[in-house]
Amino acid sequence: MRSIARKLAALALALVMVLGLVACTNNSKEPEDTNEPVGGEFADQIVLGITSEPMQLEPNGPGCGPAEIQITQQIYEGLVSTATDGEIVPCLATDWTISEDGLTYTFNLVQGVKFSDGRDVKPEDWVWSLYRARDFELSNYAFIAEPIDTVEATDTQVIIKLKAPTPGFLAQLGCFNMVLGCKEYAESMTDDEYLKAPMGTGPYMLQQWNLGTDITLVANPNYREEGMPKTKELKYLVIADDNTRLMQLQSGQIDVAPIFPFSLAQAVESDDSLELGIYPSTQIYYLTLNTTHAPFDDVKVRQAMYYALNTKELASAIAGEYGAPVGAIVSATQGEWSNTSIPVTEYAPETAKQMLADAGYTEPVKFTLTVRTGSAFYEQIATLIKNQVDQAGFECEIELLESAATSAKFQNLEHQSTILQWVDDYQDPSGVVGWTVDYDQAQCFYTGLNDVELDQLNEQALVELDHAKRVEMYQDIQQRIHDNANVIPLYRNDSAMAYSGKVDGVYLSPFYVYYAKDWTKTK
Amino acid sequence: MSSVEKKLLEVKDLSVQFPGKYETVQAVDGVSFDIYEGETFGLVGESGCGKSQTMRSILGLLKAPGRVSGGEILYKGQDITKMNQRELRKVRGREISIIFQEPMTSLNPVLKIKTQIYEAFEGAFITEKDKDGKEVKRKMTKAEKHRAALELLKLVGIPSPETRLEEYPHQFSGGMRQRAMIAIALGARPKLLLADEPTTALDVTIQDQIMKLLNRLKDELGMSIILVTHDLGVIAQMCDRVAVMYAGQIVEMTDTVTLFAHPRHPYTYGLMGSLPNEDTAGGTLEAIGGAPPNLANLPEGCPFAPRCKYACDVCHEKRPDIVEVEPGHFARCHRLDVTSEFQGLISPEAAAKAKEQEVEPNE
Amino acid sequence: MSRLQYILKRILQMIPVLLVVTILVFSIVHLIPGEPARLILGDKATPAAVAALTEKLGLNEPLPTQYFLFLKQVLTLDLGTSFKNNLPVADLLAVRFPVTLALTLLSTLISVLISLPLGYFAGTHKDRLGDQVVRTASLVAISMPSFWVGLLLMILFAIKLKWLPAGGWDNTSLWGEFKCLILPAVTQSLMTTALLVRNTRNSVVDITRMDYVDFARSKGISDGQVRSRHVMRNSMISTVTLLSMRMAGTLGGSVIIETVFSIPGIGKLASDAIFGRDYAVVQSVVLLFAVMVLVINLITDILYSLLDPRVSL
Repeated sequence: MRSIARKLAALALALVMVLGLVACTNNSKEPEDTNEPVGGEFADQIVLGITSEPMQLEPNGPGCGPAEIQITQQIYEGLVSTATDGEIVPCLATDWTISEDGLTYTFNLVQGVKFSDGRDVKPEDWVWSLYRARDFELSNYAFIAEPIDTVEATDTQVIIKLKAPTPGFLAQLGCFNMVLGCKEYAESMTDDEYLKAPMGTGPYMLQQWNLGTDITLVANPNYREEGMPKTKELKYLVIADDNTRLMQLQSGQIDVAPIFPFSLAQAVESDDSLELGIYPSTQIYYLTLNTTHAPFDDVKVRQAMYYALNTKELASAIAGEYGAPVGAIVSATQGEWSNTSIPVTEYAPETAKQMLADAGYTEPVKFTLTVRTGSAFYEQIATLIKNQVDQAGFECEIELLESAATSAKFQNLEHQSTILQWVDDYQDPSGVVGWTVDYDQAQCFYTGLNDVELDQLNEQALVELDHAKRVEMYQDIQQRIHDNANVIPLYRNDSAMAYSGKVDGVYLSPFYVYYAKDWTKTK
Repeated sequence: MSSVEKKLLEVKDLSVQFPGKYETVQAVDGVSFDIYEGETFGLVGESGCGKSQTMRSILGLLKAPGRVSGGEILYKGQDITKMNQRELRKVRGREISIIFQEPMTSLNPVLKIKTQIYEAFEGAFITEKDKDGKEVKRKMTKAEKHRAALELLKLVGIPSPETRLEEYPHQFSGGMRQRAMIAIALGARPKLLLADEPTTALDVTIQDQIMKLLNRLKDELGMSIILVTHDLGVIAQMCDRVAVMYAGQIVEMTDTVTLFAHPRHPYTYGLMGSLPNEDTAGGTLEAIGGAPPNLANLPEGCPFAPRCKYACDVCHEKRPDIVEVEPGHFARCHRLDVTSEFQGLISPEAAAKAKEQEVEPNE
Repeated sequence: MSRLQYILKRILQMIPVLLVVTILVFSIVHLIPGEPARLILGDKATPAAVAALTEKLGLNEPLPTQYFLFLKQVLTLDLGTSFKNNLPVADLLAVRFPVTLALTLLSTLISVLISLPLGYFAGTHKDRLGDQVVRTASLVAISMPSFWVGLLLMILFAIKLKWLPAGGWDNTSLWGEFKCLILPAVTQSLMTTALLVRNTRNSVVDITRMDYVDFARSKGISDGQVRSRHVMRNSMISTVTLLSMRMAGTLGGSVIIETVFSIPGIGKLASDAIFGRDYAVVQSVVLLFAVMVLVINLITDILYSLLDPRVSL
């Protein structure tokens, strides 16, 4: 009897495993369709699966992130927007002039623009909106509108005067929070209500928000462009798990999965009915070292770290073909701003050990690397780093803390090192540089390195009107940051969107922005 | 015992086994006896001698993995051991009933007494004549069941039956529970009641009441009783005939008076010797030395031989067959020559007088 | 005392317990490190924005003040506002709790429907092949992690067979909701089913050994009646206790199942709220859960007394 039971148990287990394997084999379906519309008909609705539910839908609301921004971008528009090649192009403005001294920007407005509820755009709306972007106290992107001094508007023009000449201002105007809202509408309700009841001039408007489940956008009947948006309805489903998103793509429940993880890229690529779009992104991961505590208060220790890290291995292990190691903190996707002369340091454990020895460290330098739990991704990076540096004269201890505790720790500069990332919000280096160098913003990317000279250099670069000179200044800044070795770039990666083969027109900007008005889906 | 008595039950060479992983226990080994109408038959022996298993096999209630491995149990000509579930159900309750030793665990604690009594009426039919004068059978109505249940409780002497019906077993005392169990067992008026040590768990005064009750019911309802016990006193009080069991076999069988007057098996004799009486007062009781054998591993020869004072060589080698030592008196022993000398607990004169009294109807 | 009096007495006893719960949960969630404002604003939070949001959320008040505010809200059934999405917690719970409730009920039902017959079968075939198979299957079921099972079920039923949706919540119709609940309910029922099968089997083994089962059979009633009135009726007593404990547990929601299947239940709500230090939500969910556990305990005790007449309240 016993042996029969054992055999049966083995059989049961085997059956279960076989079932699992069968289920996991890739299912290459017949490609039932191409991008040609059948009978010229496009579908009325595109369904998107996003991993977290937006907290609110107004770009100035507290804690705006990709979840919020991707939806507000379909509803709100600004004076300008960023094209796929990074150029600033007109949106609600037709053209503009910039004064000689770089302080006054005059925009000519597109006429006849209405909000989605039929209201006309008034001058007061522009004034109100731009001041809001700068002054709304709960917004953590207010610094983007910081350069604005005054805003004046008429029916045909918007005139913005800056506090100081800011060459990056046009790019900043293309950012997601510099958009037009309706003053009368917003003031007819409380702030909290307005954050959840967006109304803009964009191609879509909010129709329904089922808490916890889905958000439906429908075409703006008063949209200024004829025949746009191409797809009448966008439905966003909140799907917390990426595996589930993949499955819903495969089963046809959703059409697009924005910001898709590379770990599942294989599954998408091997499925003929699905597409994987890869787009250059400005995302870079950094190892940040707290300079207010030992051992990283010693710049020599920090500089030794360059040789103790194998960023090539990190990039290929984690981002695979979609990433590459970098040397400068500004992403190459920012074009000429990035200092490409800063090399990616080769992994050289012996050199690192030597540098540490020369600096007087005979024992391996101990330090703690604090990362958040619940993310296989961060844990993977941390483990790889530990393996690398432990052979190079360091002794790394990985500290796993819950997300909130991790944030609290590094934001209070109580950590020794941690891993952070940055995605630019607009086409200008001032974003990431300011974050890294301006002590008042975030204590220099939470490293506590108050390099006054560098800070001043940054201030100057912000207002330098001579383009060539400005480029040079930023190159210099990046070099100095490299020498300071408090923020060490590890690698950059592209971003991915997974979508059904029936959908066309999908594109993701380097700033994690897409415009769905051009998307179509065949039936 | 009158001479013309109908046989109710015939047990022929019954064997019961409990197959196990490593060994098979022979609980009952070739037991044969007959039960006549209107008699009380006693089955006496130590714990583990197979008397309970014999009872249970009569109703097909052996606990798994026990099974009948040989022999027949004939009731009204049909072999119970070969019956299927449907046929067995017809016998259970209606023809043959059983009551167990522990009344608390024999009654379902979560059902009212009323429900448990009604269950006994499951197979009962009321025969009546329909408008054409034909006899038809129908089941009892709720009201009829209720009435019948009340009657039963009265019959077994439970006071305030109306209230008692709605109560649960844990609200009854030990003696009352036993009475209730008897009431349930008698619900469908069986011809034969199997009583498996019905009073062992009760105290002596209650014991006496229950015994008297059983006797009264036996007469009123005209049924037979097989009474299983380890208490010779109960045998003396209640039984017409008795069989003594040891290690799964019947070692002696005869009428009660004869058994107590001149037993012919050393075991029976030993049992009597260990009963307290005037002679043993102040001294030690003579127990039978040793312990009952392991039924999975019986020795060669007579199972009682290891403990038997009179055992000789042949006793250890060969199992004795059962022998009719005098009419109606059976014994299974090689040393019947020696055992004929046994003096029982009652003198031959008293025995003869008792036999005379039995012929006349008495108290 | 009558049942009604007993219920009232128990309800009164709940009050001090719940009070202690509010103090505990308030203290714990406020005293662990992590600032809600920072977490809401994310990695790019500026100190100015953090300060403004902290003030707005009322977190600069002294702790006792915040606690009494919380208590007052609870008594008026206000339950406060979620920091994260600025909605009344009561609204959030009203949307998400019914989902978890429906899921729990369905998974419990599935468990009961499967485990009772299986447990009975195993108990009556003790140590034989049937019993071994059932017990092995139970062991396998307990060992399988729920997210794995969930994903497999989705692959099989949603992608290969296309019978059911691959997660998500279709609240346009009752039938839609039901379809979305089937796979998660089956996944969730595994643990309970396995435990129930074992419990029922052991109960049945114990009960069938009892003399009253033999006594019942000796009356000549059918096997079905023996099974239901005598064996199962008595086996159910301990099963009910186990079942109610499991229900109390699953009513707290399951983060894993809700994440894998994208169902808006309170498990994920609570989990996200804890990681995001969304105080009002955490406090309310824990309080809700405490109430549920107390109520379920009360119901279980009453059920127990109904099932077993030997037990008095």
